[in-house]
Amino acid sequence: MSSDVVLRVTDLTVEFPSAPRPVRAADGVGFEVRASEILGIVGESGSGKSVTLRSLIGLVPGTGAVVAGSAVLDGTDLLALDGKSWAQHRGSSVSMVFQDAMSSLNPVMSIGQQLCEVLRIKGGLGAKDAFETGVGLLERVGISAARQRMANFPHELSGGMRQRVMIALAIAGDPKVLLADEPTTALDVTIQDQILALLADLQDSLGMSMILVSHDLDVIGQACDHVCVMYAGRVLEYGTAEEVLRTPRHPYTAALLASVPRVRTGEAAQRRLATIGGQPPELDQLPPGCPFAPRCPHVAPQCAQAPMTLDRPSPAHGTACIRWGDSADD
Amino acid sequence: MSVRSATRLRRLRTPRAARRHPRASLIVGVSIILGVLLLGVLRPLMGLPAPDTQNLADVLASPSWAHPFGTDNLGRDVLSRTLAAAHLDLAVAIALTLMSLASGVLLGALAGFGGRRTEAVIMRLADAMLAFPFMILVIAVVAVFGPGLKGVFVGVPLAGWAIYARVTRSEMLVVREKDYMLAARTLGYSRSRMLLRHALPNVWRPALVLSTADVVLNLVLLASLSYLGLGVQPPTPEWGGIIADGQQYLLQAWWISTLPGLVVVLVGAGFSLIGDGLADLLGQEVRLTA
Repeated sequence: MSSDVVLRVTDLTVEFPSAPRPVRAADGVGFEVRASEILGIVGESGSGKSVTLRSLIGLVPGTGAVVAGSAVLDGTDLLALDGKSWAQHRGSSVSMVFQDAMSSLNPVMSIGQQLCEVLRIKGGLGAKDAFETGVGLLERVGISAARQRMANFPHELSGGMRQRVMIALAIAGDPKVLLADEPTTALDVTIQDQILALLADLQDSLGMSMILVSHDLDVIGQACDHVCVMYAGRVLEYGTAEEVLRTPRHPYTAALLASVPRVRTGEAAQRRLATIGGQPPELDQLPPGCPFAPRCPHVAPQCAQAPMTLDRPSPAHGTACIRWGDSADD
Repeated sequence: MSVRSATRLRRLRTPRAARRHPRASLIVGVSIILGVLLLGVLRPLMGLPAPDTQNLADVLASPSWAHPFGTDNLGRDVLSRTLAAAHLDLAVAIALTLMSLASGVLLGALAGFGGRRTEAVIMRLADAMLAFPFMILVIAVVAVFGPGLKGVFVGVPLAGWAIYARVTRSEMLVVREKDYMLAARTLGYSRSRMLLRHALPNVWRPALVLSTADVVLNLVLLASLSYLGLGVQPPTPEWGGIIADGQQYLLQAWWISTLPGLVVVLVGAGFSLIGDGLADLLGQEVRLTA
């Protein structure tokens, strides 16, 4: 794995205006994406993982806005781009695959029309070249009888096929970084595996980097090189996938891993599934210090003063927990 | 009120069989319109007198084999005049509707897709247009341009776009939040491309369905204007004009007004059937009130 950084995100902070004070959906998020690697961002609903991803393509939902931070891709700070330059970068520097492929394709345009459009606009191809390249792309993402499929409309394809088409659209502009927002959540498990394998294969053969957002630890473990664990808009733990998932250094990650259901036999099958007590905090009423403190089994008074920074600089395995050394002995 | 009247309208106009076979009502509707047009084209071959030929020896003749719709006060064959007017009436009604449809859909889509200010300007204009009684507005425009088709072609689209703009805008408010619009944005398309290529084809169908009901209204409007002497000028045969001419002889010669009137009704029913068929085929409700 080469170590050159393609995308460096530092101190990304996204706020949504709200009374009495704005809500921070992402707070000081930082990570690096290296050439041809997959970074996983994992967290539960509302942890800020999707907002982080959307801000990297300049489409923060609703009234939200990036208020601080930078995301440098090839010397360009994406977060500082204006609307016009964004149109240049979207689809060619960064592009995105969405969770719900069912609704992410335009229902009144054929697959071929949608593919050719990207290739003509982003790749500057003529109509004929665009069609041939489009057929090639469909074959590349594993769609059989690609030439016939070009004439199909989205509703004529299965969910897995639509996701493949979405991926073909996203890679048509030859992006450096592909953002994948829970690309497999809406699919059934066998298709999930195929899509993950396809993404890994494409990332490998095209030398593309990828950020994969998911709440599914299995998906993350299966596909990613590095993992970023997010909670309440903050990065709690960051390191290689293997280390983070095998030897978590933050109690939240540990609790997440413990709450994944497994097939058990014998006595273990009788045990209740581990859960994390309490509710994720409201983003406008975050406790001071560590946001996980109220639910943490290892909480100590000093957690309220904990600075939310990783204890080791990336790419080492860093955690934001100040008590990790102690709690390991609990 | 709008919901109730919409359902009532639907019940009245869509027999259950037609709802189960949307294609059937489409086929019947299209056949009626094409049939009337075809009769209009074939009129010279039917052995009828020319529409303007007067036969003062045979005025106010009741319907017979020689004159199926009878003759008027100048001895002109009413069927011949009715058929001769078919292509004019239908073409004008359809053209007027298409003009309103196109401008309304474009402006409505722009209002729903563009910024707050664009939306405010377009929709307040639409409100102003809808606040006027339609007919009065058209008559006012015709008064400026003088009687004839020119005034009608300016006045009707000027007043008629607003309802399409409203329908299309409301549709656009839904469509612009769809995932595929977001996905298209992530591909870096320009705003005009997003609007025209990606959003517009998804928002214009309710307006299209509405327009089939509007053709009927425009047909009647054109007839009404001619009836008032503001539309097509005599001696050009036009349905409204023919009906207006026959009105004063209604007690002696009921056929002059009644039979062309029935043709108008038939054509109206044809367009309604097309509208219902389209609505069912496209999965849209017929909404005359927006």
